[in-house]
Amino acid sequence: MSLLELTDVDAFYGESHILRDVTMGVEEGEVCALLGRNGAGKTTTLRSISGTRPPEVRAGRISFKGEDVTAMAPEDISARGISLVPEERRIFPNLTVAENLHIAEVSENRSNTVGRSLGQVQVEHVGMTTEQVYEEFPRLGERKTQKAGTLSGGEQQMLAIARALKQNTDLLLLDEPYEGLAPQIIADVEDAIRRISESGTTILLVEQNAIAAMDISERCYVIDQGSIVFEGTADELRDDDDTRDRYLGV
Amino acid sequence: MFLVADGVVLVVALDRVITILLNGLQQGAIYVLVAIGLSIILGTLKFVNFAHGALYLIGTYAGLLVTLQIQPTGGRLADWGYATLGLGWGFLAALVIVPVVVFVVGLLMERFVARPFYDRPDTDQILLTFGLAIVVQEVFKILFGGQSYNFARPAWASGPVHLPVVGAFPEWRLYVIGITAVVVVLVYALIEYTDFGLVVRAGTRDAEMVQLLGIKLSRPYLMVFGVGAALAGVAGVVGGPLYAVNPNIGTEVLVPSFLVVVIGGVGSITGAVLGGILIGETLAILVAVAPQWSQVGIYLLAAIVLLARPQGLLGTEEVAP
Amino acid sequence: MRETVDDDTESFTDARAELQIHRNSDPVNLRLRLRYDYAGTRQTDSGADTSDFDPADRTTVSTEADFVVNDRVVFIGGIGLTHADDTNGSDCVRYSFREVFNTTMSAQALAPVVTDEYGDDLSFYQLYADYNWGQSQQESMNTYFTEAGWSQIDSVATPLGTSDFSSFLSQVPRDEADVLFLNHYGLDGANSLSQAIDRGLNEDVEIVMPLYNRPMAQAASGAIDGVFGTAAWDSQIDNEPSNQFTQAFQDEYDRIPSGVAQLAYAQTLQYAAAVERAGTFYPPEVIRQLEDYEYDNIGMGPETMRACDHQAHRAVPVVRGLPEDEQEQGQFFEIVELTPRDEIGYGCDEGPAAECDLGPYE
Repeated sequence: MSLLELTDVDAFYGESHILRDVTMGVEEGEVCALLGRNGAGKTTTLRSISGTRPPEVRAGRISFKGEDVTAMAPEDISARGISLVPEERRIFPNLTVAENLHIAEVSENRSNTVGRSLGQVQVEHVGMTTEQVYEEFPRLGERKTQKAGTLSGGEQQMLAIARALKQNTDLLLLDEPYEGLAPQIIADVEDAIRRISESGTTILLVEQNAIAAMDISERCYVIDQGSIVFEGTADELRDDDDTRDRYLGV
Repeated sequence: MFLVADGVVLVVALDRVITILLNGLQQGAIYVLVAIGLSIILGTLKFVNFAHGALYLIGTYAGLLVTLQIQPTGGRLADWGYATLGLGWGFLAALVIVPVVVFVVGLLMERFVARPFYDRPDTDQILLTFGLAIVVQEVFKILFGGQSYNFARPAWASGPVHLPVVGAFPEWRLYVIGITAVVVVLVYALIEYTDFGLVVRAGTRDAEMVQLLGIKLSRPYLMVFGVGAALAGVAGVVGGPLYAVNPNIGTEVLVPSFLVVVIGGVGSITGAVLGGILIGETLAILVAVAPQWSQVGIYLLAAIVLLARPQGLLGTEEVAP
Repeated sequence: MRETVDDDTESFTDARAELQIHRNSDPVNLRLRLRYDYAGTRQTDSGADTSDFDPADRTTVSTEADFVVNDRVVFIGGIGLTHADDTNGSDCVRYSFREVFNTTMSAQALAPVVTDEYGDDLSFYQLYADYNWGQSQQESMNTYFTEAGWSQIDSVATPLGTSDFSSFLSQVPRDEADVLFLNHYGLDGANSLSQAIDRGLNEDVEIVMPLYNRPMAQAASGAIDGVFGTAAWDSQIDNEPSNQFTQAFQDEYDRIPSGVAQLAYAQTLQYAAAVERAGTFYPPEVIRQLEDYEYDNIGMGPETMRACDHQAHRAVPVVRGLPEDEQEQGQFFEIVELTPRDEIGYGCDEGPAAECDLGPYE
């Protein structure tokens, strides 16, 4: 059983049929990439998984740790251990860095109890502490009293990731984490993703930047016009010139 | 007011200026209390609550009934034989009980009126809440009659107090300023220093993201509505003794309070305080220099602010302390 | 013939008596409506017809006058709204009669009593509601108190819709002024008077409310203590017809009647009597019967409904508010004087009457 499974998912924005029969899975411990052009359905897939509406999932099933989460509210899905770092980061610009991190703790207890009740015996804290976050991302520690809106793009991305990691995360959904970042910063973010992966957190990475994504992921899906058109390892995708050319433009 | 380089004239002028400023403060105070509730509900829940004045109305009548014993002379309650109504427990009891009562009314209102309309357009919300305001007003009229009741100021604070410089000033109005200040500080602290406030501030900016962090917003939203309602309840109790009590007072307090929100900026508590003081002072100053323009003046002030800063003086979008 | 009397005399918020007369044979479907907006009926923003006793504005008064002319309804009124001088002065119409006194008569009745009580050569300061009635009232007060030897310091308009008069009241020069006239009616009056007392103005100046009504007194409660004013008929007027009416009303409705109740009953009877004398419901004939008619108004003594301006010339009760502990249901004033009609009023070529052109009968 995969950690996350999508089976024949059809999702709609109003009457527009966006995802068609999407079937994919993410295995525990891996970094999995979902690649595709702008508008291919990547973000819709992540939104479907995280429970945000729209889109409306009209058919198919999404399961996490074997539990059907298709119709669940986002806060309940989050409480089961899925954290989303959304497109454009969506940190709270009006709160300080410390407050942005602290708000993740407000839900932590719920996350622990609900998440741990799924067959695991021990209820324990697995999210990062604030100290650990500052250790991992020293820039955030330096700026903890600053309003998050005043941070640079890279710092905001770090903050968004850190916020997700403060939760009880088993699966981290990253939506275009490199978008709008300078190459040097991309390397930093990549580095952070690797370390998170090494610590045992499963990652589903959604990217337009296929080359960067292939660097750090083990398996890849390619989505186009709402359908999965490729599934395989990063190496297989690297060798599949036709798919890369047709669907990714690289 | 008369800045003449003559010591005597200046002293006379100073007491006039201070009196005007004090008048402005006390006039703005009630609007501030009502406006903060309106503002945080609009800012957080994106819900336009025209029935907020009805909460003030409920607060005032509840305050009247807890504080005093009244003899209803019109309305159904009198017809049903209630010759005397009310607990007569005094004002301090009302100041504690009424906010709790109106808080509960606010919770019910959120659950059964507001929540089903969160995803509806503003116009639907306005129609709904405006209608509700009328219904509440008419229900009070049916029960208590259309006439005005005298909400006597508490004995320990009625009549004038003789202040230095200013001279005689209605003592109750000083309490209004004081109670308002304390309540505002409490609400400020609630929003600024508690987890509840943190979630509210974050949710105002990006509700979906808050949910993605595993936080259920329905409870904080319920609380926001309850707190906003309780503030209107406090305003009703504190403001009740200032005016004769009748079923129209809710509607009458709503319009200036909306102006305060517009001037101060939606969602900003500091903005509501600033807006309330500005409106109060504008009224007080115009009464002193051009009395006939005093009512028009506050609308003019709102128009000028809107032209210069459409989001209001301290408005961004989020609830900010 | 159907008669509906729906007089909420305890609240007086929307007291009205309506007499509807239908004569199918008559081409004119005649209705008489006696509308006693003692309390005043105001349209709120919500469009709901909320009865309270806030003064309606001038527009309402004119609209009613138009209505009277166009619908050919004989209108016999009224109190409060129609206390302004213009109603039976420049705005007078053939189809409207006014039984109640006006601002001139209030001032005429008050001046001797108030100057007698407080002394000569005093200074007064006025606040007035900024619409037709308030303007009319403050003008009348200025005219007749200046005539009596007092002098006006200032007269300040308060915009309609003001419910917090405290800033206005803080402007009253309490060292300079001896007397303060609060030309506010109904709810406005209850608010301004209470707020004046709360500010301690009564410690330095005497306050006068030129026109009282019962709901206002009820809402202002203890604030009216010792404050002079005029009022329409009051149950405190102690004479045979007055007491008889009070008793009859109490037997029927179990309440003490207010001024509006007296007005409603008295004027309904006046109209009925006029129809009887005319032998028809045809309005021009009924109007002719009402004009210059001498009658004895319940408890108020002899009155004339003057032909030249349709204004009743009548006695005016000058009253003084009772202390809170002496107030009872329906009893708020002591009658200081029932100023007889020959001490007040004006000729047909004087004052407001000089500007009156009633227009045609048909």
